[in-house]
Amino acid sequence: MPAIHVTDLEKSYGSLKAVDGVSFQVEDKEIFGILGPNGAGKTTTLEMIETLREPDGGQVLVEGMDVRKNAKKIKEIIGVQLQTTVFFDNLTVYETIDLFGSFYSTKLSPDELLETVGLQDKRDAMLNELSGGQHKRVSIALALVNDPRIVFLDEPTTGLDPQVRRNIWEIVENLRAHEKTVIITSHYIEEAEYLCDRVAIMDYGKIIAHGTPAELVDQYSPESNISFRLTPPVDEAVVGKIEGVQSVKSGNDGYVVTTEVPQKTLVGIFKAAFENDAAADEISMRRASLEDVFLKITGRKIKA
Amino acid sequence: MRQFLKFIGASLKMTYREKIALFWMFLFPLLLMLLLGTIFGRSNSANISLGVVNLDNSTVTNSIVKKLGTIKAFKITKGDQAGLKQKLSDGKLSAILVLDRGFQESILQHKPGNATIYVDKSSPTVSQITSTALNQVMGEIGVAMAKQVVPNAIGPSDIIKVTEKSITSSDLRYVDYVVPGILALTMMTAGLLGLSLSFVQYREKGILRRVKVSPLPLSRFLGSEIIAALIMSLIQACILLLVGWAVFRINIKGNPLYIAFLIILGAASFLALGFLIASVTKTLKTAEMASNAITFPMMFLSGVFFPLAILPPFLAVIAKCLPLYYLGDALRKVMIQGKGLGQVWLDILVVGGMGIICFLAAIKLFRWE
Repeated sequence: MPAIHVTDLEKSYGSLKAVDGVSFQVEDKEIFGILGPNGAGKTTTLEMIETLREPDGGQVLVEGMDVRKNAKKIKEIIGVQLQTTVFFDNLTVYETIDLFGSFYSTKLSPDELLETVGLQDKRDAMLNELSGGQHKRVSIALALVNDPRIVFLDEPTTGLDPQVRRNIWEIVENLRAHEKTVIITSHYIEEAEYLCDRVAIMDYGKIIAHGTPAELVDQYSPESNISFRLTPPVDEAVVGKIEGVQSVKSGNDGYVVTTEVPQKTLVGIFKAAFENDAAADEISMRRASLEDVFLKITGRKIKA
Repeated sequence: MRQFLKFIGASLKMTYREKIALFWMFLFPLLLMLLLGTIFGRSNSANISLGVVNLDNSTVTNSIVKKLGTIKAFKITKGDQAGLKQKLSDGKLSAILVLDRGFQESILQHKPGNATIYVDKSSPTVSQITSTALNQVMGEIGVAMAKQVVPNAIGPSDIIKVTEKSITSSDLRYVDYVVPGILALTMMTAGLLGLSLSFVQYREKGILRRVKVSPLPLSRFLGSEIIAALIMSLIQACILLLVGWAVFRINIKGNPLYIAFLIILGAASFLALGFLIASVTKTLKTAEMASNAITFPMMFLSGVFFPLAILPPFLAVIAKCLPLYYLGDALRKVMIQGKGLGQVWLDILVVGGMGIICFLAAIKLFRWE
């Protein structure tokens, strides 16, 4: 049985269809990412699964239980980190976790959770004394307070600097080791690529693609980019004839070509350099990313 | 139960750590009481300027005047009736004591001596204090005098008969009047500000949503918040009463259980009103404005600081539309006049009714986000 089974989920706000017929499954113990630009409907989708919002149509099953009928049971087994992460100002970190723990029938010890998220040294700090990253960590600790089987993280790293973001990633990786099912939303491509076993890409309330990051790239954007410089420069047409090259862009910095057979093209570049008495250097290759996939499908960048 | 206690404990802890809120909740009403009590209640008694007209000019009356002069609380001005009355209406005197002709004569014939006190009706509190003080002092002097002049006289009322003029009633001091009012006022502000502002803040910050995704039922969440707020209100009430008693010896005649009942009723009803505000307002700003819009008129128009009698009639009508008036009225009647709950049934009905209506409306209109 999948951890989460969503079928034809719908939610409208007035005339806006925030979630427009979304279906997907999250397998047990996987890290599942919902990737998309702001306003794509990621959070609304998540909140309907979390029992925070009533769906207009469709069905959501969490471990086989319908969110409309078993909200209370579902709440006991899920852990939720919401986007807004401000809590009671006048409680310490320890007291906050302890208080939220008392809402559940199963609860972990606050000290254990503080260790999980690396906040032991802030145990007795007031919430309003914490930095943005520390707030996020408290909210993740709160999402784990009932030792849930399924954890929802809604944009856990938005607004954090890269170093702090890495720290959060480590915490999420650690959840995999604890055999949690994790659903994470993000508009950071590299986050989804780094953390997620499978990804659903969402745009305008619909899922436009889903699969493992590698599958998506293979399916939608199989080509690689190779950039290099030739001295002296050669004609663009010569570069275009190199094996496997699909397109060429040239500029002051040299050439950028796309290819689906990068190894053959690399050999071809050296061959062309040799034949034209030119030196090839500053060669670099980049595999397509989910960003390219998104660009390919929608014609836009995710972070517009 | 464990959840309940934990939540209530956390709420109390948070309030305790919010120093500004603490000031408004505890120190402000206390300061208000001490200030008003001191200005109008106590220092006055050490500073009563009393005009004395001795028409009898006899041994007895002369020694009464002399005795009065030795009492620190009085500043004695002697003179003729017309001049002193002018000073009284100019506000330079608190009262005039006129010892009537034939005062000694009456006493020697074992009849009470006649004296008249004139007070300024336009400042009711001062005049009440003065006449009360004067009555008491005259009584004491009377007993002492009696023992010298008429050895077999029994008590003060036998010796001196004082006629009060322009005085409305009883021995109600201003502090006794104002403490129940401040108590009611405190219950109101605690209810309105305490719960509504923190709730709106919880909602604005998304804390309510985070609570909603936990299995904790709304009723338990609300219940703990309300109980925590009620506990705070009760602590406030106890402190006010204790300080009022310790400093001013406020005169509590009523049944403590009745008083406790009224305090809880008032606190709960205004909490419900605060809860309603929290349910219908979106932001902290609007909640603050709504609370102030409700508290300010009530604070000044509900007879908390002064009797409705001195308000112009149309304002008095408005006052009687404000729930705070009824809570203050009930507390005053029960605490000071020692009345039973049955005698303030209308007050209880209005305050309780408001609470129930507000609570039902608030539940209906409650939003998590």
